[in-house]
Amino acid sequence: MQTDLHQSARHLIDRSLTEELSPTEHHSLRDHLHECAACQKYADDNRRAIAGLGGFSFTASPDLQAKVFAALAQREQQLEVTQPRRRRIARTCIIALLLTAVGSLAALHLGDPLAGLLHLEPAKTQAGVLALWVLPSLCFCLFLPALLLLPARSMNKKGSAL
Amino acid sequence: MAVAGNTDTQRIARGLRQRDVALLHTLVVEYQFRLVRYLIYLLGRRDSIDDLVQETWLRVLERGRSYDGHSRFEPWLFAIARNLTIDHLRQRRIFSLDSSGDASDSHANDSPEQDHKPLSLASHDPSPFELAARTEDAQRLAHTLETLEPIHREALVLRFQEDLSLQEIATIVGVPLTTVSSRIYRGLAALRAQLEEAQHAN
Repeated sequence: MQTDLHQSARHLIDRSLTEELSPTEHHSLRDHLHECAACQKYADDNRRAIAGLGGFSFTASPDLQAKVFAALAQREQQLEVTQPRRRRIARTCIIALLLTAVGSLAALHLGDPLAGLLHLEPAKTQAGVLALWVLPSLCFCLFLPALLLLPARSMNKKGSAL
Repeated sequence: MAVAGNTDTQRIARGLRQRDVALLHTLVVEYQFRLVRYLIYLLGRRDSIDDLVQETWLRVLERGRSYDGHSRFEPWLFAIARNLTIDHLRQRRIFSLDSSGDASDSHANDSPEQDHKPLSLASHDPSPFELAARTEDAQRLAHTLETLEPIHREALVLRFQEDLSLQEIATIVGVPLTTVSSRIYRGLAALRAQLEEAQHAN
């Protein structure tokens, strides 16, 4: 029974290091520590061990800060170069996508009027629109995201730990 | 610029979103020592610390947008450093932080026999703890810290040096709160035992 009392007191001492004890727990622990030298020593040893951790003075390498600043400046420059490029590629990709959509609509709905205007066969006009407009812009649409994905993949790999 | 209030964390988040290099420099200066200390506790050695510190700040620059400013900056910073350290250890196949000791984390299995092998140092050079010890008690604890499981050292430094809450530590380490508590108690028990032993010897 007595051992249980000490065990629960030590459990409370441990818990007090990681969380707030309730007022009841706090009072019961205080009362117990007042009477029990062994548990008081346990609490003191804990405090001493924690204070001991504060007795270490770690120092960084003298040139570490300068090295970090230099590395940050270099990476910042790289990001300045790569990010606008990505934005440009993304913009071009959207334009190509719009052109593909417009070209497809033109081939479907404007093939006949255009053929009449140019005195050509409707099928040939449609084929011309598809070959010279829709197909190139579609290729652009497919090719540009690949350009975007390449650097993004390598960055994602680096950032996967996050 | 102590990161105490919500305003400060929001300011840091805004600066990181804008890749504000001046703010980053301030953060580097402010957190350099704490980052070095955390990494030494995590690794138990000094080599690679500089590279990891540098890599951590580069990651902060690149991934600054992912810090939302709703929580303190330190846990976010330490989580980055921790992930980079794990990657680094995996590459060098030194040891695994996450697998070591996790089986013995619960109180029910708290037996010293279940301890995994501590990270062995490559040479007989003094450990970073011995070199950094400035008080008598610290000198007594240096060897214990050196042989302690990295995950227990980590829990100790985050709780008692960085003053992080259990929840913040759990977020950094990616384990339940009970596991964090268990690691803290086990680490502390080892330190206490060392001090008691020294006391008896005297």
